[in-house]
Amino acid sequence: MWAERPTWLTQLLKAVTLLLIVAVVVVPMLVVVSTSLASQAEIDRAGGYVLIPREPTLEAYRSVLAGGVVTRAILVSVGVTLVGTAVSLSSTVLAAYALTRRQMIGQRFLLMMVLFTFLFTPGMIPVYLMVKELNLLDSYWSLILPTAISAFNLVIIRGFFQGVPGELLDSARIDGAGEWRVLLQIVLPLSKAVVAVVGLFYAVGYWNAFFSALLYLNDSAKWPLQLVLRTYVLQGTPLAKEAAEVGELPPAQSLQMAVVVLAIIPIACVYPFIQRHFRSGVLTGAVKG
Amino acid sequence: MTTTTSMTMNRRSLLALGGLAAAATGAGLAGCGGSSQDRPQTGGGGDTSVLPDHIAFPEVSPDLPGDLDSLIAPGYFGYPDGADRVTTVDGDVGTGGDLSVFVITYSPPPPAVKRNAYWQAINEALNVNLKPTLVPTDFDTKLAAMLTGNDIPDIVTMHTASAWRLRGYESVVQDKFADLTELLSGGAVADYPNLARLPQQAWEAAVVAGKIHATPTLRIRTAGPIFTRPDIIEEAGANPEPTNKEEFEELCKAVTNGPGRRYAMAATSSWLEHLFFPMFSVPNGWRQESDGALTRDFETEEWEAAIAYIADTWKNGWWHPDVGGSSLEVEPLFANGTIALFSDNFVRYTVRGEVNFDVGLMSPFLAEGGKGAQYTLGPTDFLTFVKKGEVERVKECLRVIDWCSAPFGSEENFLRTYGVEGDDHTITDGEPVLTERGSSEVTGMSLRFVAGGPDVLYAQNGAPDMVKMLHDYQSDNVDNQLVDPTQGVYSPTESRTSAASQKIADTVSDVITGRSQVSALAEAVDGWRKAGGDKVREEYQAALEELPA
Repeated sequence: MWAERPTWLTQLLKAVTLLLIVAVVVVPMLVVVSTSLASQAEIDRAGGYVLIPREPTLEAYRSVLAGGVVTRAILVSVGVTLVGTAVSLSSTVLAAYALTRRQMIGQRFLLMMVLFTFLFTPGMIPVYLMVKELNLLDSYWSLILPTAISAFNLVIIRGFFQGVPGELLDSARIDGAGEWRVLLQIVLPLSKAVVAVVGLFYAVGYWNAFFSALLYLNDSAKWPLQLVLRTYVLQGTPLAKEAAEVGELPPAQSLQMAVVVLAIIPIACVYPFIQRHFRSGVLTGAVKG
Repeated sequence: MTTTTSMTMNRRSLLALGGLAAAATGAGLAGCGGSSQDRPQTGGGGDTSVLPDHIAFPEVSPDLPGDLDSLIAPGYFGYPDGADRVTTVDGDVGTGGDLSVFVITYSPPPPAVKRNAYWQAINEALNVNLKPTLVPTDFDTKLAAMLTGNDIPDIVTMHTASAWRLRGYESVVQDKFADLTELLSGGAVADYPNLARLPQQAWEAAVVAGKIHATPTLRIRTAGPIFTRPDIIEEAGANPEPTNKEEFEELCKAVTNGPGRRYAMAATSSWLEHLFFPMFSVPNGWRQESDGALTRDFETEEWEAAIAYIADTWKNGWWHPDVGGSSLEVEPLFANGTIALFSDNFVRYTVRGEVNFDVGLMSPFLAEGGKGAQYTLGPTDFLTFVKKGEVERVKECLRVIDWCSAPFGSEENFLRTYGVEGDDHTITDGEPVLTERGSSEVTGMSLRFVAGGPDVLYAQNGAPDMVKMLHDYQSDNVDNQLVDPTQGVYSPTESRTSAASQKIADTVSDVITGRSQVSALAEAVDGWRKAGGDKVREEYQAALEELPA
């Protein structure tokens, strides 16, 4: 521990370093927002990306939100994220709790099956065939069910549950509590941090769902936001320009940035409310004792 | 908090896991093997004896005449209005049921059919309920999943590159897609007049193992030209149309050393090969020697000389410093005058919105002076396949593709390109202009890739001068066109050399930017040969030998 107060030079250096770090994070965000508000003329003048738009315009947002494609995609993403997180969290918690009960029939075998998935993944085609056999193609459930339980998250939660003092559970059972009551009224309240973190991991995973949507959803009206965002990004690629024949939407850069901003807004709105759970959950296990 | 697990992994359970894993892997791999090797792999797709006849369609007269043989596209200064448009399709196209289409898209998805005037109009015109599966990215992956799941849509459109990357392409096509030979070969194509108007050469890529299995989508065949800013170049005191290396170097020096922060050139994913390769007479893809042997462009001394020269231009500081980066937006740099030369799609400035700066074209030239080769592209970049099924269903799909192939100036082409008046387009100064809604609905549906072109020069942005400039460029470079001799033939091994080809491209970038010596190129090319390049050569040579003289 440094006992003496830092000198003014040290404080100045610290301030400058921190400002630089902040700038490295903030400036790209500013460029994203500014470019989304820029016109074609301004983008041409700036050579691609704009730092401060002199003539801001909401044209790109109007273009993106007109037609309802992006709005619908946002709704799909929100719905899949909410439902998917709920399904995944409840399945993972139930499975993890069950796998802590030594007296459960087949507990060891089931645990080995879960751990086995760490070693091998089935691959894209077998999963696709399974989804097809279950008649989930073109269904929102194809984005949720195949990835409902993550073995990694299950092991994390199981490990946390095993850390709950056994005496607590035993005394609850002596008082007549069944397994459901033990789980819901004793184990889960003590596991809020890890459940919040795992829930957040699942939520971010569902929000970013892109590849499974590409593979399983043929109806473009069901596409989530990330897949729609990808199409805006692709517009600027050489392949797209080679294939372009008709139409001229507002400049590709401002459209892309507008969709990026729209994709960030929901997460940016929700994160401040769950930040403390995320922080304490991530630190879980970081400090011994 | 410490966590403990009640399960300890001992040797017995580890071996049990390993055994289970091996069994599962074996079962999985067994499922991956297939009958794709059952049919002979001929390695050739260019059998011309089955090609459909070319039956010219009475087209709307162009303002600037085209010439199929010379690869000059006809030019139109305006879109014919209603009275002058022709109708090419009589009677019902579809039978009123669902029709699924699988096609790549480079645009955001269109609004759903209930809110999509264009989609509804197309359904009505075709008398089908169109159900498109639009694939925005990772097309090869989605295609593989679709084919493996045997969920084949009625119509499947693929970029030729994606098609030829398919493992066992010929077997897959023969297994999954209809043989169209009887319906299209020779005079049979007359039942589909819009397909019959396509040049015969365009059909070569659609022939697989001697049978027609697809229909081609046309494109403008002039390979990426070099666009110039004549105003900036002349202001710097140089000639915007250099005819030899010395004049070109004067141009680069003048622009780069002139007022303001400017550079002569920039590119995102290339090094302006269509500018430098003709200077040194580099072949277009492959060169066929007098004895019929094929030499790949990067196996030639000319190619190495071209790369070494580009490296010199880089050393001289004539390139924008961010070149090669995927985030470099070259077009705005060209528009705002930061660079004077760049390369893009031939029709770019007839599609782009208002162009309020000077744009010119630089014809290819030899380093020592004289006309350089104008590389040409193959006649088609997309192939459309029809699912195997009942003959009447296949015919229905062909009628739909035929409708989409309708020529410029026809009612069908107008509807496919501009949609519904008022919703998708307005008429401004007599010309159709897509509305914002129209851009979203029309480009989003991506029907242009299923069939139709473009095969004419027309300024959708209302700039007829651009059309004249492009037409003049094609006319001026008729005699020095250079065609890739392997155009229209197929090599099954080519797709397996993509990693080695990428290594060559990466080495080229390293050599140009000074990170590697020119001698590194030979090693990379040798790597390509060992990775299957020689086999690719053999397959192309065999395919070319099978073609009728």
